[in-house]
Amino acid sequence: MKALDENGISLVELEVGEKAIIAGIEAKDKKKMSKLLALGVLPGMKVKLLQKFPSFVFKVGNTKIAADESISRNIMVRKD
Amino acid sequence: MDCCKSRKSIFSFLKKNFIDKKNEERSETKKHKLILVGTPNVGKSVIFNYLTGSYVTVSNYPGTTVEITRGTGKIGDEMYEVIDTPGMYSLIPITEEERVTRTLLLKEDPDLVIHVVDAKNLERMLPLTLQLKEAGLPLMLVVNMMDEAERLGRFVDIEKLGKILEIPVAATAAAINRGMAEFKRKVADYGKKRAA
Amino acid sequence: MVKKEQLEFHNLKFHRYFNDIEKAAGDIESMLKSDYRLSKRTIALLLLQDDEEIKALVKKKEKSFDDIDSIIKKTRESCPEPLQYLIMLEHQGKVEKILREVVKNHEKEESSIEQWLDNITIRPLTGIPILLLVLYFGLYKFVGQFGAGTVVDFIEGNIFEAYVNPWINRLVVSLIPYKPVQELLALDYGIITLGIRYAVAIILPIVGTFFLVFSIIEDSGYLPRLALLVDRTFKVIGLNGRAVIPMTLGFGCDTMATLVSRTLETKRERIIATLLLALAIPCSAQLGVILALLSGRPYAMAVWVGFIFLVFLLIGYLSAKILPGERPDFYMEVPPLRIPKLNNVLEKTFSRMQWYFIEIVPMFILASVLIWFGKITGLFDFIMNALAPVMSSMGLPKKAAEAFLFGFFRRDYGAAGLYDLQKSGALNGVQMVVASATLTLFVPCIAQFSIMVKERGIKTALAIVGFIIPFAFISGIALNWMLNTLGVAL
Repeated sequence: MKALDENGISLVELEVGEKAIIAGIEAKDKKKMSKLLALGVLPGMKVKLLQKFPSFVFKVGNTKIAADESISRNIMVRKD
Repeated sequence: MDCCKSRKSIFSFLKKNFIDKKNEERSETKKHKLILVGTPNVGKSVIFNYLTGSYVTVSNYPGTTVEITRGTGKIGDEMYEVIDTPGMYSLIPITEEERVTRTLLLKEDPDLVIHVVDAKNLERMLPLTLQLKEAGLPLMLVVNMMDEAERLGRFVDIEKLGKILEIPVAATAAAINRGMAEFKRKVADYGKKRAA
Repeated sequence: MVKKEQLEFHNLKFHRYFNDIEKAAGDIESMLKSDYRLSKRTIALLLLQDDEEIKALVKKKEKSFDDIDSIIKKTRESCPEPLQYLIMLEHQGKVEKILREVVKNHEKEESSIEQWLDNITIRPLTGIPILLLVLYFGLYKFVGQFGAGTVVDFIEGNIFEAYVNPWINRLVVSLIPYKPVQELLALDYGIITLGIRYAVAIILPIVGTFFLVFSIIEDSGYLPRLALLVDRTFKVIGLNGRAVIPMTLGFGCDTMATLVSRTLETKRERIIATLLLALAIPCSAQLGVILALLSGRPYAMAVWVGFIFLVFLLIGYLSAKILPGERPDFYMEVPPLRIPKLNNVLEKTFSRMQWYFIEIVPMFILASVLIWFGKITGLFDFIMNALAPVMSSMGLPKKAAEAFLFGFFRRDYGAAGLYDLQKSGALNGVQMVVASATLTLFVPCIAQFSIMVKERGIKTALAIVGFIIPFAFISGIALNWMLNTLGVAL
């Protein structure tokens, strides 16, 4: 299952400092998906990748979120 | 010397918590029940302290409030049992704490559920408000951290929000004590309306 | 704005599925006959979202559960995405519509100083040096040197040893003619002269300073930053970044930390954290006394720190390998850094100290009573004699067994026993390191053990302790052998 058509890329593929809009949440792993939904990471929101190492840190709306790669990978985005 | 000072305040703290509480319990038989819910870091604990006057560990760390904290406070003319819950992100629990919170909503019969949200992050938090309302709980919304949101250039029309959601909504900046008296009055009004 | 439209199209595309969900929810609603406190619509939606707990509840309450279940299955199959995702999208669509009406944004970026501070704490290049500074000044300088050194010396030396103890001893001896009762209350191991003295003179300053530092760090919002910095390392030992909370709190009080470890998501993580807390994290009281013990000998201190750290990583790594279960996920909100509020910090410190004292003082008194009982019945000498061969294989004098025995009552109690032993000049550098290391690893105190039983169950708790006791002594023997073989003088 894929949350979006082929144009979306994963958040982890963005460069540090790049902004994008969240296009969907990959739903292959339902547990990881519901964690992201619970954090309020939802389609349509603006996201900015702040750093990739040692953990991924990104800003969604006005909140900073830290997550490991396996979680962050499930966020599908469209570049601004 | 330092230790003497701290011990003294521990004693006054103990007295405030245990002795005062006992008296309250004796004088009041029927208390209204009020449950605070919301994600960590939205200022629930500060609001709890304001309503009860007693102390609970205020934490700036997601998930440190492990156990449910209960306190008693007088709001309007009524005595309330105030329950502070561990963080809750959604009605579907993922963590142990969220499970605890939902069980509480299922088992207790609250007279009022107060959902506390961060004004800066309404997008992320209002979905839970909708879920709680859908669940048929007696709900009130507190939009907290208004000061921080304004500093970021965000203004929220609280009255309109209340009309759309059809529930009482209060705007506060609990950390600097803004809007708190008004909020408490709204809680008291709600209690009166429910009684009528 | 093309993107935004595409996006709305994406959500719209899924919107039509929501009609199916809506219909299914309506059908389920009409089949729910019992009372659930939450509205039937909510129960129906939770069922559609595969909420196991609600499913079990409904199964118990409704005769028509099988029909409900088949509606759920059918709906799930007809939708291209998990129902939870679709329902969330629908809610979010509503929220967006509301916010368009009530929120006005004149976007401003947060102030640059805040951003700069935020950034340097989460980048490894600057974040790790900052972390080391926090540890050095917060833990070593303030808790270790000021709390465990200056304040302890003052209260112990200037108050207890100079005034309280001699006075109590004289008073007890003159009032009570019976030797056993005199010993219960005062003299070497009495409730007042040992129990209360340790609690007030050694533990109070150390634990107090630690909780103060911890509260400042916690209130500033620094802990989540620490979590994201250490996540990768913690994954190696089967935990995730989130576990820094119980782990750092463990340096204050392992009992409290074991309680807090329930915030970890999986059972596997909770067991690993409980084990590591019991084994390799010295609590502040123990830490303070050990720091004081080894303070004049930097190399001895380095060997102790290195050895405990190695054990921590090794056992963490091995238990992560052995225990089944999936890799933990790390995800958490990072709140903005803020200047800690004095009020919050003080109240938090006091409430933690209060918890600690309600917990500890009875234990100290109990320990004094048990030791007194052990001494007058000769049980104590018997155990000390039995432990003598173990002590000698670690190169320690027989009297060190007393410290280990004390350590069973409270971790710090044992360390404080060592402290007394060192002050009398009975231990050399190598012996002190071996004794400190073994004592650090050795059993959790009674309070921690009881929380382990309560939180993890009696079987797990016993298994952990059953592993720790022999492991601690074998480690001590190995360390002693290693240091002697290498001919190290510390």
